[in-house]
Amino acid sequence: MLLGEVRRFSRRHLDAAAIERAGRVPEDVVRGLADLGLFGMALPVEHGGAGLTLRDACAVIAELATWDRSVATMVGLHTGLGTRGIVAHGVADVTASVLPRLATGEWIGAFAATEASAGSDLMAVRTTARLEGDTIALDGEKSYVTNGRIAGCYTVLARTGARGHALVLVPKDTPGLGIGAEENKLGIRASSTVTVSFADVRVPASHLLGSSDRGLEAAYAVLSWGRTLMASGCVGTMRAALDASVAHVTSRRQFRRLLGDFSAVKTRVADQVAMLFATEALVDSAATALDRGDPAEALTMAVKVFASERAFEACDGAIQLHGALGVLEDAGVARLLRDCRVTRIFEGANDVLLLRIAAARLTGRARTTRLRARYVSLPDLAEECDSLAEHLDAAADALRAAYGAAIVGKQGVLIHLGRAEVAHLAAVAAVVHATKEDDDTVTLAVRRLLRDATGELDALADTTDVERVSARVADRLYAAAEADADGAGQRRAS
Amino acid sequence: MLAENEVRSRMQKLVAEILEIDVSHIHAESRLREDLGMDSLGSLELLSSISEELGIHLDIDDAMGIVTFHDACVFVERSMKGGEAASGARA
Repeated sequence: MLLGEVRRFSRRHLDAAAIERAGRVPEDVVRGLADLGLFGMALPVEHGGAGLTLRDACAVIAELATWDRSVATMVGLHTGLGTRGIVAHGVADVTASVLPRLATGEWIGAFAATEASAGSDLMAVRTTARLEGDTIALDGEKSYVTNGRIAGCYTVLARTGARGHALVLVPKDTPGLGIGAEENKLGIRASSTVTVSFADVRVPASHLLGSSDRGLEAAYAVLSWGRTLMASGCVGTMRAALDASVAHVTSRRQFRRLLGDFSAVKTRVADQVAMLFATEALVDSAATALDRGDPAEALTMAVKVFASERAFEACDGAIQLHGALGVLEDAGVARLLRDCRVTRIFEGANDVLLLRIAAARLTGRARTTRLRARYVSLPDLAEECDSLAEHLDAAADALRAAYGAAIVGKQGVLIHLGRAEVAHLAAVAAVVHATKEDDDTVTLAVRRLLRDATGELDALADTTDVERVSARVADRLYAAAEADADGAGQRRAS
Repeated sequence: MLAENEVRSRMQKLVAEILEIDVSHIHAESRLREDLGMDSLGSLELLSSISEELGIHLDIDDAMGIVTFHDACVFVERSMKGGEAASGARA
């Protein structure tokens, strides 16, 4: 029922082109979203929320993203990174005073972790939080804070004096908190992105979210929610790209035929359908795992990587199908591409996440999931997934034996292994979510994903040499650039 | 062969460098993941750095049960003894 209301609201009020031109989400849209209860959808009922599961919240974000990615980013960030730490770790007094405001949209939530020198490497954050009696004092500066200007409060990751890190809740009106100018971005231009600074910002000690030295672990758990919600936004983008593609190829004629009648076009459209199905299935698997309370950090990293890359691919495919029209802003698909580009970077750059996924595989005891023993509607595809699982396990065993811990220096190898792992997880999710009605879609999805994964595993054999040669090429280029810079410096000096 | 306390002090230094924290915050009972925030990539980095620094081969399979800093030290000490025994046997 909520989804229907969201769709009706979005159709009427979310004009993506106009919102992008305005450079901000209009007040009446924010009010309308609040009236629908979307800011409180996943917050606890006792604090004014609707208590929806993450899985249901993901469905809402996907619907919003189908219409406008900036709006979906605003609500998705609020629902995940902006409020999850407060719900999971806030003490009773704080949740009782803060969550009702966040549920009504009076306050919008934001998450401040990234810094100029700490992006994917959160351990490197320099912002400090000092516990002094019954207050916490924060100093430092956070970059790329989504919802930063419109937020009512921030969940801040800071280094604590004693040891480790902490998450701290900081209301926007706290003295010493400064907000920088809006960043001028490639996409999601109506989503607020600013720098937030803290100069001896003091909040009560009760605003500590969780322990004073295990904030990183809490941040990783919050990021698991955030990544899954962000991936559901990619589902919405893929639906929009597919809708635009189908509308175009079923109306545009070339060579006396509809574009959509050409087999190459049908193949491209069908691939978009198959990848959309696999992405939806993988997002559903991750959200369900988190709702159950299962450990799912590696799975949510995989979902984020897979969804963001498939969404970008879908938008690129839609532009290609549109031909020259695709690069004109009026067609709308160029904006889809620009809006989703950042999803391959924020909440953990994909390359770094792939390294982590591979490292988790190499340092974990678990073998790759097998489907054979379970009931699935497509036993042949399940068998093929299991066969790939055996190859993945064998590849991981071989890498451990060949490199030992030195594998950490072979990033090219790790990224291939990570990509194979992600493709396998997506194939498994597609098989598990298969129904009798969509055999063809599932078959297309699984076959492509298994091909992708096999290609990545095959590439492992060549990687060492590729890395060595690549290092020579890059080093020569860097040396030349350095010499040029030195020369330019000397010319300026003289 | 390095003395036990020398191994531990070098390990402490490496963990502190990787996690960018002060050595004084690393105790025998500190859990690498839960208390110190070390993820799987950090664990691999640590093993690799130890291998390089101490000139020994560390088997990832055997490292999977490591939870605390003490576990990691015991694992390295055992690997060093194993390596020494193996080179002794070869001699």
